[in-house]
Amino acid sequence: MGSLILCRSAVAKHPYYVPELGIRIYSGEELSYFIYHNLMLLGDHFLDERLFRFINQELGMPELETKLRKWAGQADQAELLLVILQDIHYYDDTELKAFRSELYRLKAAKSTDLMKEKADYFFRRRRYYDAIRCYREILTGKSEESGDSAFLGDVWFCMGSALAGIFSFDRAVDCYQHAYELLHAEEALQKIYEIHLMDSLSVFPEELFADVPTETIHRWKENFEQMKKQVALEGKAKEAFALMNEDSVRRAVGFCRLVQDWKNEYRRSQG
Amino acid sequence: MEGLILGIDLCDDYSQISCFSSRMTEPEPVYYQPEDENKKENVLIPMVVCKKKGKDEWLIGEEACRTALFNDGTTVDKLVKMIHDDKFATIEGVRYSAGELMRRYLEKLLLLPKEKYGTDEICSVVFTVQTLDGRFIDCLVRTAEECGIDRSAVHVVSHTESFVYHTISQKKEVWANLTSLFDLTDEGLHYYEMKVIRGCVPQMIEASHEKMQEGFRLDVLDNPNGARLGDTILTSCADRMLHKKVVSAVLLSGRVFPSIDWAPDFKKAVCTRRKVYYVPQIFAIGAAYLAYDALQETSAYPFICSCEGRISSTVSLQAVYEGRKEQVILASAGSNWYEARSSIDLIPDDMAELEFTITPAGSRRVEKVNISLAELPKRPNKTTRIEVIVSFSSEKCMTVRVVDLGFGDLYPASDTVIRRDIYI
Repeated sequence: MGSLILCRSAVAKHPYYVPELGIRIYSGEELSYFIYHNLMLLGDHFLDERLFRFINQELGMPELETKLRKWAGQADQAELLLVILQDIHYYDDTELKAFRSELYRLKAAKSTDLMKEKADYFFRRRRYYDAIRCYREILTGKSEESGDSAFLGDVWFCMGSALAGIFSFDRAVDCYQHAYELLHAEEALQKIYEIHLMDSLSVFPEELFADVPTETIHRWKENFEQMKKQVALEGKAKEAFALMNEDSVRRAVGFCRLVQDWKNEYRRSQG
Repeated sequence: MEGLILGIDLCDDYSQISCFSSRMTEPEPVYYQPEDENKKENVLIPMVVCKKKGKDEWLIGEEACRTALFNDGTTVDKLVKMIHDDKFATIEGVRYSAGELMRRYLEKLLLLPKEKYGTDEICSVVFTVQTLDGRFIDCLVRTAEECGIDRSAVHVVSHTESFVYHTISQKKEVWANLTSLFDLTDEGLHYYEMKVIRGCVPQMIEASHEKMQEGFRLDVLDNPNGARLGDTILTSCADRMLHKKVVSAVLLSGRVFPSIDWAPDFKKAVCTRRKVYYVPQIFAIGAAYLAYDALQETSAYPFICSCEGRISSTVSLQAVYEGRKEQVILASAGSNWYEARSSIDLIPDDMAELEFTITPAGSRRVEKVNISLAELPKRPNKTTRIEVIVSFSSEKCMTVRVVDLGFGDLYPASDTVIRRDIYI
């Protein structure tokens, strides 16, 4: 059985800007949601003066601000994040319990695992440069520990995908090759083949495909074609296509907004 | 409080003003011509506005009638009906809307209390009219604003409500059981009734109004035969309306009632085992009490009033606030429907619809009304903020609007608005 959450106050006149995501936060509920879903993004300096002022002046929660200021130097940041979520009451007890577990899990996690999670988070957010930086950090052994071959294979694979995301196909192929060497997973070869289909001038290590059956290659090709058709009907393409049904004025405004969104997204992806 | 507190009764034939000013405990009537205070008729200010020929000079009331009589101006009357019908009047080639003419009338009308009490400030004004509708109230409030009265100081109520507030401001013996009112004007005969419903907390007062089919023009009373006919009509109405009812008091209003010797049968019908009061200006006085009460932090009337112009049920919604389930009241029974507008922001958590609880005043019966949220854009759970706006277009019809506010920049708002009319 669901419920309705009565919002604490009106939306903020002066929102809290999150430069990493390029978004503005207007309410306590949005702040809670942001913290809950973007733990990886929150640096050590997240609880700063700007946030305290926002909580006091815009959210009208001076008690919470006082509490955070008081404990800022003493308590762990994770504990303070939990205090924010508890006071805003956007999440119920079960969700807070899950959040607490997540905090403990991250606290106990190895630094390489944590870095990998952070990199994956950036990847999901299409912030490919940040993701590549994190993956590289793991691979160059800047982290305290180095992982096993499966872990490293996975990192190479993900870095390949991130490089493909910025159209650096040759380097992506190189990463997938490393991943294949460590994992012996067909998926890495499939990715290399897909890159080849996208850009025939990219490096193509034919020797790796010598043992791959023709049917498999054929299947990959079919999948790729299907994927191409699919992307034309969803995501950005769908958004742009939907504007074609609008009148000329709305269409023009819509396209401008869309292009601006894409530009912003691209700028953010530069890290 | 130094400003004026006014109750103004607006009828198609006359208007009347009752006023509280500083240091007054009871409202007093405002006369049209102060030098003739002995003449009772002067509390009745004809609803006539007149533009003097060739000049931008406007007159109202008797003066307007007199000017028109000497063919020195053009008059327009029945302004209330004109507003209801959204009509216009053309004077010397210029088209005036009903609202504009009402403004001219009100500007002059408001000068009477201002001059009498020597102040221009109006703290609170309650207009009372026979029939309420949204457009009429909009027009009247706008007109009052144009006359320099702050919008928040203006209220519009029905005659029924004014009658209730006048009556419960009297000694309890007047309204202990059932109280009746006969209001006889040129517009017809109106019967009002109010009773206190016992056993409800807070106490509830129910009032109703009926326009009698059997009306007659007041000038027929000028001759004995007409008076006899009037007596017969009134008696039959009184017998019908008061039959087998325990009535605490009967109130009479209208300019023909200071004496009812001309209607012996009616007198007998209403006076038998009952107290009868003649109350001139009953609606204006009731409105003045309401105007006074509107300025107080806590109402002096701890009642739920169920009558024309007031909402009969409480409308609420269950929501979680700071982790606790609460019943959020969007409109309270007994509140003025025109002013009962509220809005709240909600975030549905696994909820596909809004469930409104409608609780009639003084009843244990609860009705549930659901509004589906299926029209809202599909987003992850708890990432849609909605504004629920409740307003009324009459005491029976509630309009609910659900506006999609999105979830900040994370999920931008769409233009989606779900609108439903609910009859309560």
